[in-house]
Amino acid sequence: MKICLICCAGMSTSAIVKKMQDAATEQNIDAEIWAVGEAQAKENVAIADVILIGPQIRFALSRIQALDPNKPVATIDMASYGRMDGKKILADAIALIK
Amino acid sequence: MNGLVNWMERNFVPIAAKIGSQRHLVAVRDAFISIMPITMAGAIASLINVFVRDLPNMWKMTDFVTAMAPVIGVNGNVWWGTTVILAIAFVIALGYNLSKSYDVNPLGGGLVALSAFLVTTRQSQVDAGWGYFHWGEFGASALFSALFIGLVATMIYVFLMKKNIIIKMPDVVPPAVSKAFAAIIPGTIAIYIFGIVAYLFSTFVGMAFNDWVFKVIQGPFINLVQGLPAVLILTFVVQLFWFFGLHGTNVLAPVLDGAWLTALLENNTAYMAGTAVDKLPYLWTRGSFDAFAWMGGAGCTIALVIALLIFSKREDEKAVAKVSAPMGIFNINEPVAFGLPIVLNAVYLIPWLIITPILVTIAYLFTQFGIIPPVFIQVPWIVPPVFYAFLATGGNIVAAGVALLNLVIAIFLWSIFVKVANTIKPSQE
Repeated sequence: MKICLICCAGMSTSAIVKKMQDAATEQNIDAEIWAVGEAQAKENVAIADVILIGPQIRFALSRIQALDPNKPVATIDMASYGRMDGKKILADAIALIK
Repeated sequence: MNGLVNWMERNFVPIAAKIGSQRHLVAVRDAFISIMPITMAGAIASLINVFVRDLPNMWKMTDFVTAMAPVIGVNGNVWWGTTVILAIAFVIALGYNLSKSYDVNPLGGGLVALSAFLVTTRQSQVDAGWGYFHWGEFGASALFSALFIGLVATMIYVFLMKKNIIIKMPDVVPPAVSKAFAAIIPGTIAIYIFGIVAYLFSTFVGMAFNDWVFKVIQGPFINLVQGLPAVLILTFVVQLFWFFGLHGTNVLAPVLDGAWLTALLENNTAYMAGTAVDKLPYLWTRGSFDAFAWMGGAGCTIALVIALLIFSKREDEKAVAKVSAPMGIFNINEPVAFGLPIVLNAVYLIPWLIITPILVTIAYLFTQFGIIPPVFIQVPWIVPPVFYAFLATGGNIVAAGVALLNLVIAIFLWSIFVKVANTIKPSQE
């Protein structure tokens, strides 16, 4: 499963990517997770199975969803984002695919 | 309090959503991001000159500077192909990003925008006669006209492409050929319109369109936003956005870059062309915010993290500070903004809104009185605080000192509110 995280420059979400990868490895989940800046949204939405966006750019949700109406796109909830709770965010991403 | 917050969430956040997802503004923002490789190469050229030429000159190491002449020469070449032609790079990037957002051939859009921009430039130069482009028309001073032409020319191109205008060809003509003819129209019309604009301006206004935009729009606008009130309003609004958990500098990037990045690039151009750092055209630039106020991210959150580590008696807040510290050093503030949280937190509302305007005012006054030079080197935003100010001002120790002073003031102000938070149990918030 391919999970793409999008924030302003792909910096703060890249720290979350690492936590999510750790959680995936721990639970033996095969997941490819990466982070990009909003400017690269288009090409990355095309190849991801699920797209999560940082709450600080939640205003971009509708624009990113419009890039592909059939892909699950959601905002990461603020509390998990702040705690950098990779396990919870990964579980949310998986729930979105199903 | 809750009523006000709810009201703002209902009324303020949708405005952010509109600005932050408006197609043309997004294209402008992304164009500024796209030209980063070029602006950064130009910034590095000026930074190396600071260390091999300006600082050694100041320390009377003239032999060293003479020996470094080849390095300085190479930097001059890099500058010539980066900072000097910024507007050209920008107009291509803008045309590209805007057409891409409409699913129209992006390279086509970028090139049409470039051509429309060049069509409006002067063909004769006072000192050289006819047949020369002038370097001064391609740099930061041409950014506004590049922005305007890039948007309009690309929109004409996109609109006509979307309209699917077809040149009727006899049936014997193969479809591929008639398609190729159809593709000629949108670009030609877009470029011709600017050919006409250029002609009208040089005939009736008596100056090139580019020069007119600089004289009548860009110059006055940038001078206007050089005033402390404009700088403070921007600072305050960025904080307000962040209070609602929205990336303020991202939402306002088109304004922020248009007004203050342009000023920074003009400063840099002036510096590389030989202007002394105390005679640079603009006092406050894009990097000034990062150097003196947004240390650790908007809100001067690195000071908050330090204040929490020293003064907080709450385990939950200390844990957030520990997680946030390594990222705060590189000016990433999301963990503390969302983790503490700052977002919608009444206890931290006041310092969140007032600390950065105070820091901005201090640095602004230091610059205005000529104690520190303005920021004229574009430094990547992930460079740690204080060191950032040192590099951005061309290796100025006093500027680093002002950043440090601001940091101490911010830690002090934050600590007052951290102590208030100590008296509140986590569940009461």
